[in-house]
Amino acid sequence: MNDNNGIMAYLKGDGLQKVIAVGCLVVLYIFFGIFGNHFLTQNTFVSILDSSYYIGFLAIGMTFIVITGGIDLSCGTVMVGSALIGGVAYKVWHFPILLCLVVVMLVALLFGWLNGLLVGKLNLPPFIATLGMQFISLGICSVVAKVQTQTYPSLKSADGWFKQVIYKYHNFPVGAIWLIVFFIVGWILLNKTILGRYTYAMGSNEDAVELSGIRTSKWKTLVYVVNGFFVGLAGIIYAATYSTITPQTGNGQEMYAIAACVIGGTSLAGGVGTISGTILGVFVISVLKTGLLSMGLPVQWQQVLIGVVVLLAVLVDVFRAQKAKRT
Amino acid sequence: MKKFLSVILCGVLVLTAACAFAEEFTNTSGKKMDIRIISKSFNNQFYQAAFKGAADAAAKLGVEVTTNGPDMETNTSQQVEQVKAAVNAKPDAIVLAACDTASLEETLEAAKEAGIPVIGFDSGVPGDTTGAVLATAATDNVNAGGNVAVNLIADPAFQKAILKGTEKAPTVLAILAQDATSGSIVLRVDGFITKALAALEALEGLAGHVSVSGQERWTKPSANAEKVKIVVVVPPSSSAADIQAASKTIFAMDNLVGVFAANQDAVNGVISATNDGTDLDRADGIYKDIFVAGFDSGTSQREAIKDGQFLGSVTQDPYQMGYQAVGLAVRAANKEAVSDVDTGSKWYNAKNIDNPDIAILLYD
Repeated sequence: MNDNNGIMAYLKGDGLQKVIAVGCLVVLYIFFGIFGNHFLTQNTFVSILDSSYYIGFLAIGMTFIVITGGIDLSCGTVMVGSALIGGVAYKVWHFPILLCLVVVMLVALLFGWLNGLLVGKLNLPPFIATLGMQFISLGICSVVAKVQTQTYPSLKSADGWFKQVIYKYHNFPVGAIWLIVFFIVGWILLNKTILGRYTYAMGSNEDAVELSGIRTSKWKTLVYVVNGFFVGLAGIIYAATYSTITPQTGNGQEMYAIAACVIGGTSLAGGVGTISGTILGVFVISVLKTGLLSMGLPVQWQQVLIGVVVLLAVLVDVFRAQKAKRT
Repeated sequence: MKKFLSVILCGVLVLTAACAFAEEFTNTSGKKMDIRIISKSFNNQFYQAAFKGAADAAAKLGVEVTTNGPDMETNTSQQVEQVKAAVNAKPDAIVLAACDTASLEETLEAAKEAGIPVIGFDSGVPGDTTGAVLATAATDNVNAGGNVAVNLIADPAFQKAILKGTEKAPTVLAILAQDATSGSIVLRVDGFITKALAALEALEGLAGHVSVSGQERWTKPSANAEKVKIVVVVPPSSSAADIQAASKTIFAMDNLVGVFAANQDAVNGVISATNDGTDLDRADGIYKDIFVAGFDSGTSQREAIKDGQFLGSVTQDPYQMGYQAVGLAVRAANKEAVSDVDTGSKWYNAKNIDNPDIAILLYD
């Protein structure tokens, strides 16, 4: 009886959206399995994984931000920008490849810290601060790269080993292991540390947190730095997956990260959200994108359907928020 | 004596001819000409090569060129602003590759009124109605796409593989097009399909057995039951992730024999979808029997061609586009008559990639 109540309470609370997300994933999988071309194959599965790595890392970082009630519009451009500068380090400055990956990380952390200062210390609305940073990262990283496309070493070359460690060893999707590892890291950060507790608290009622004597400016900055860390990981795996990094791209990717959070039940109003939900959201998006392609649908319909799924997810979020207000 | 005189005469003639050639681009107005170049996107490797050609032409002709372009080919509004700013600066000529002709109409009208000649380059300014655009230096994309089809289907091993198609199990020649709206890519696919249909139907037993499907624009059922299918695949956006996913869909097709990646981004997508091309290794790759033809150039593509993972590729000549466009611009600014220049396209493969005449066309 008690168990039953537990499940009902879970469904009424944050659990509902996660259950919907899992349901959605299963339905999509069955649907594409029937109507798609070779959807239920190992290759397609690996393809789904491949396209979820960088969105996965972006979305884990984004979950922290969204739970504080913020948003990061700069993560897509910072991801590509940091990968671009890493490429410059490799091709132009002739750094060893390992150091180049450290450069990617540092660039992303720097942008995360700057976002943190703008939002945490200067109290800019996150939307505006990170929108500004989107343009700044888009521009400044291209300036450093002299607007030249950068190419990471290919698998066959001497420095190609980094791809085997990060992305794929023969046909084994190593990236998935990293995604799991950092999913656990993200989960621990959010659920088992003070940082995590304050992240939720700031999203629920920032004034109350401030009044209880906690310096929210410091903690908020830290949340953005954590996000920068995950954006850096995304940058590294993006470089390993796509090799060729084109300057001034990456905008638009943040929307997939935000969509993944929302589909996974993270509320844009703040205070609510889980990393596991976000990962579900990431897979809903990559299954959808890969599946629609395998059906051979014209492009325009793929775009329409991806849009519809994002809207549906936000609608669920809105309904839940309204319900929460009423009760 | 006569011999001596004739040698001198020949020498003079050669010199005159050389002068005439050199004069073709010479600036007669005295002061340094100001030419503004605006590409479809500033970052693209392709346009960087064009800018280099333009800079070399400018150095030779003693004119000043300024290069610019939007972040992305889709950023139409940004390009409109850039062209407006260029017109307002009253340069001697503008060299332009338009993202969207319709949205530039008003600005081009203003350029015409101000007497600033506009020269197109690369995809140029298709469908310009204002008359501001006097000439274009560009690849004929229909010819270039056709060039790929002809060379791919001429390969004996490819022919053998594609002829295995039966009515029950048709073989597939797939085309990965980055989008279905960009003028240059659409024309390229047009040219490829026209030539591919002709070349395939000319093969033994295939007449009337080749169909085209995938995207509405190109769909064409075969007269008889299909033995070969040409399938066009377009990713939902031009992001690297979506193009890679679309490539993977292609490689999952049954009886796939050949792939044509219609631009540099599509080529990069195919390469990243095949483990940096290693899956296409002729010796032991899992797709070793699939023939891939590319378009344009770029570091990864050149490596794939050198290693034999790609059968070959057709390159445009961006350097010439920039170079010729500046030449046209100078002549137009000097009120000379100008006309379109086809800057050509060439098939290259592992055999000729290092030849000097090809190497000069390959850019990063």
